[in-house]
Amino acid sequence: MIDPLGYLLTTIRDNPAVAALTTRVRGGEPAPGDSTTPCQRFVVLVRLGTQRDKRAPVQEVRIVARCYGVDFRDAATLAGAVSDAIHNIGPRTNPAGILIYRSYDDSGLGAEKDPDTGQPHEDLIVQMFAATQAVA
Amino acid sequence: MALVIDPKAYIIGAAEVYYRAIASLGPWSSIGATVDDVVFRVNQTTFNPSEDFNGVLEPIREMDYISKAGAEAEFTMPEFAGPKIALAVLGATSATSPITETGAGYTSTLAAASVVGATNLKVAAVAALSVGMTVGIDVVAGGLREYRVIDVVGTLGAGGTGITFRDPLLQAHASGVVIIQTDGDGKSVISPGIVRRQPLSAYNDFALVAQSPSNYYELYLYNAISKTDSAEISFGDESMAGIKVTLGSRRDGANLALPSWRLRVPA
Repeated sequence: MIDPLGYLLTTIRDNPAVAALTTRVRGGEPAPGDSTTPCQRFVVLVRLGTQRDKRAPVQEVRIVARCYGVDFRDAATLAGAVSDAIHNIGPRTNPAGILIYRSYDDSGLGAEKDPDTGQPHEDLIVQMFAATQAVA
Repeated sequence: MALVIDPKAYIIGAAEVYYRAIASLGPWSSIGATVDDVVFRVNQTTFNPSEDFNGVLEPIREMDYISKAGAEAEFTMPEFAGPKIALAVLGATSATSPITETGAGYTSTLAAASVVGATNLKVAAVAALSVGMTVGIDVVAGGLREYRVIDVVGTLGAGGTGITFRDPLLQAHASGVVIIQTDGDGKSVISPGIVRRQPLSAYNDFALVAQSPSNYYELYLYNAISKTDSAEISFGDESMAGIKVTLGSRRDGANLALPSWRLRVPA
């Protein structure tokens, strides 16, 4: 079963509105140099879970997008741009054949401070329907 | 091994709905965003006369007839733009109420600042004001335009009782901004039609277009008209206002061989 997180990551990273705010979009955890003092913007995508359809080659993937900002307001702005980049966006296939049918901003998890660094971040859940196999 | 379903043949996502005059090749008009699934149905009535034959335990093959068949589509339309309302309510008409801001009968200024939610304004003059008059507030270039119909005319000045109206203000207005009499407030007035046979212009061709990874799925309903039983609009704190519309396709009486719907799917 293929993992569509990477394709979602490039979708967000290459979105002009997000790119105008940051190009630091990561999967799993921040990259070295993301968490700095003073704070800077970056996004971390972490998969919450996948539900695979029993018969069809389709999976529903839920991913949390943690949008770090220089302050709470900045984090909310970045989260809004990420939401716009993925919400209700229709079918697309990347050169590797990874197919995302549609993605949604399914819920906002609100703002909080990172317990380790104290940096504010605003989180949202991305719901995504994707194929479980590459398509031609 | 289980059969493999082609992922590219899947559709996930609601369809967009378009319409245009029947038999027209002009541009389509969108009904706007729909707020739930767009449902397409083919309703058909069948009968098999052998069901009534004595001594026949089950209907007989090749005696099945289609006696009725028609297509319909259902969706919820959240925008109440004037011309669209007739797609749901047969015969409904829409007219935009023009705004004439000449202030011919009354021109004055606010005698005190107002707040959002107020239903009363203090005005510098009350002469020429009357109950039922529409006034425009801050109707200047770049102003925070609002229009209200006066319910009560009181007294002038910052300490007077001013004018009172039903709908609370949506903007805060500063003291001294202009308030003038206007004709109309720019809203669209939607009125029901009369009971009568619907004219040809009441019918439209509709296209319901859904995306799949391989291509677009297109459903065409020809000569379609609203068959909405009850155009219900809910205004609630936790519900989005919208009209559930049911469209039914119709045959062209001049050419009964023409289908009333077509579904075009990617090869």
